[in-house]
Amino acid sequence: MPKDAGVRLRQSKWNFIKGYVMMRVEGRSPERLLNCMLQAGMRVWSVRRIAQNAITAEIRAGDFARLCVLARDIRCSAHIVERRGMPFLLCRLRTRKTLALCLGLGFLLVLLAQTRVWAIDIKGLYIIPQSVIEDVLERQGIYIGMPRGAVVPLRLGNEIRAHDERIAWAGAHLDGVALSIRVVEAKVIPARPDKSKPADVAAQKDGIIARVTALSGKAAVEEGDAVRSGDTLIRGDITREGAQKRVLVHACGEVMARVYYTAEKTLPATRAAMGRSGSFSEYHALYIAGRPILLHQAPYDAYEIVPDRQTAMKGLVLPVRVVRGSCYELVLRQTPMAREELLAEALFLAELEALWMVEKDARILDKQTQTRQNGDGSVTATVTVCALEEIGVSRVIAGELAPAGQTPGEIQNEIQNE
Amino acid sequence: MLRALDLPQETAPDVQKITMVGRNDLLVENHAGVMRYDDAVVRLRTHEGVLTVTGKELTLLEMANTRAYIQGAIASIGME
Repeated sequence: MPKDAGVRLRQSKWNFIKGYVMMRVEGRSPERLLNCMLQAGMRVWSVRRIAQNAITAEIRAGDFARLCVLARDIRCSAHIVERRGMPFLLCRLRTRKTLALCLGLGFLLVLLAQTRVWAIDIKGLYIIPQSVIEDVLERQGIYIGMPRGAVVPLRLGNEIRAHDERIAWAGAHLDGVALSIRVVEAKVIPARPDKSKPADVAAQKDGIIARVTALSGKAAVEEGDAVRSGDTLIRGDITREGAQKRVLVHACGEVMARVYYTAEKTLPATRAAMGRSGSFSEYHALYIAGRPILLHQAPYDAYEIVPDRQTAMKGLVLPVRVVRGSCYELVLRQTPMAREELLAEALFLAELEALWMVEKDARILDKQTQTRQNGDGSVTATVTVCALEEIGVSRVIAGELAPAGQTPGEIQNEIQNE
Repeated sequence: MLRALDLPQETAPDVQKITMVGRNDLLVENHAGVMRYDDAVVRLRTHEGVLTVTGKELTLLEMANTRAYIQGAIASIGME
């Protein structure tokens, strides 16, 4: 049945374009007239019984003359109640030339407006500033109000991509009168470590060693050791005791440690917040397609708008909405806060700060919180997060790298033989 | 003939097909004319008898040569 509903919708639009009439048929048997009309190939719709011997129905305007002949044959009378559709509207407009002219101009304006770009939407930017894309658009001569035909989306996408190395992909497409630009930012690939020089693995943070795996070099710490930032964790100098020549390698490996992050947040007992002063005025606004067109200027510097009533105008090409409401003046006030609320917020902010410091690939092992109220009514929350993470970082040491492919023992033996 | 060719029965040109959606929409295809119509009863002639539809505020929303679309609070459908 939905297929039939679609067919009827199309037919009703077509009927409106061609014009149709609502007629009233009176006689002893209107059903006979209906059958005659069907046999004659006429379409009838919206048939309603309005009296014992009368029905109303709608037919195409062009069929009415044929209907009158049929009605006369079977002793029924048919007359038009209402004329509907485009041809009748145009007839009425013939006598209202100014209205017809305005409608024509409006239609022309809509047609002209459709040939221009009226909005540029840029999405996908997180690190790169929007001004970078705007520069490319300006250089390519893309601006709001330009002809749609002058925009070549494929070329524009390529230009944006070629403009900045931080852009991995860029695409543009025209969606009606809106130019939509999508950008994918490139991920930064970390530089590969230079292993041509001897190096130690040093601690980049304070922590307690949980695990040491030395792939090259000699471990300088063991599980449970407390280390400070800068301490050597894996030594690149693997010279044996008493050897004449230093043997240096590029030390590498994984050093996992428990690292503690502490954040403290203090919040005052009162807080400045915007509140209503008590003054208000009326507010009116007109929105077309969700964009404000006419706005009632608020008489206050800071204000809050509370809409009382929204009226949507239906049947127009664009959705039009009229908003009526109140505009309340807002002023800055010091508002006392509840202790529980303050504690919860301080705790939340401190935790957020502590978690912000934790590395992305770290595993959180433990979290400890502490809150206290100060003498002046303010509250302080302290959050300590214990995370397990890799703390080793390569640090170049002075000297020559040992020849590749030889174990430290072989190197020492070679030196002794010499 | 249709069975012999393994074709569905609704493809026959003189067999009425009735489709009803909910209680308010009824489509009758392949009818042969209107016998009676008022807002409580619609009687349609078909090749296999008379189809009677009863209900309230019945409207012939669309009438074409072989199709009748009835809308209203349909109470019953019967063949005589």
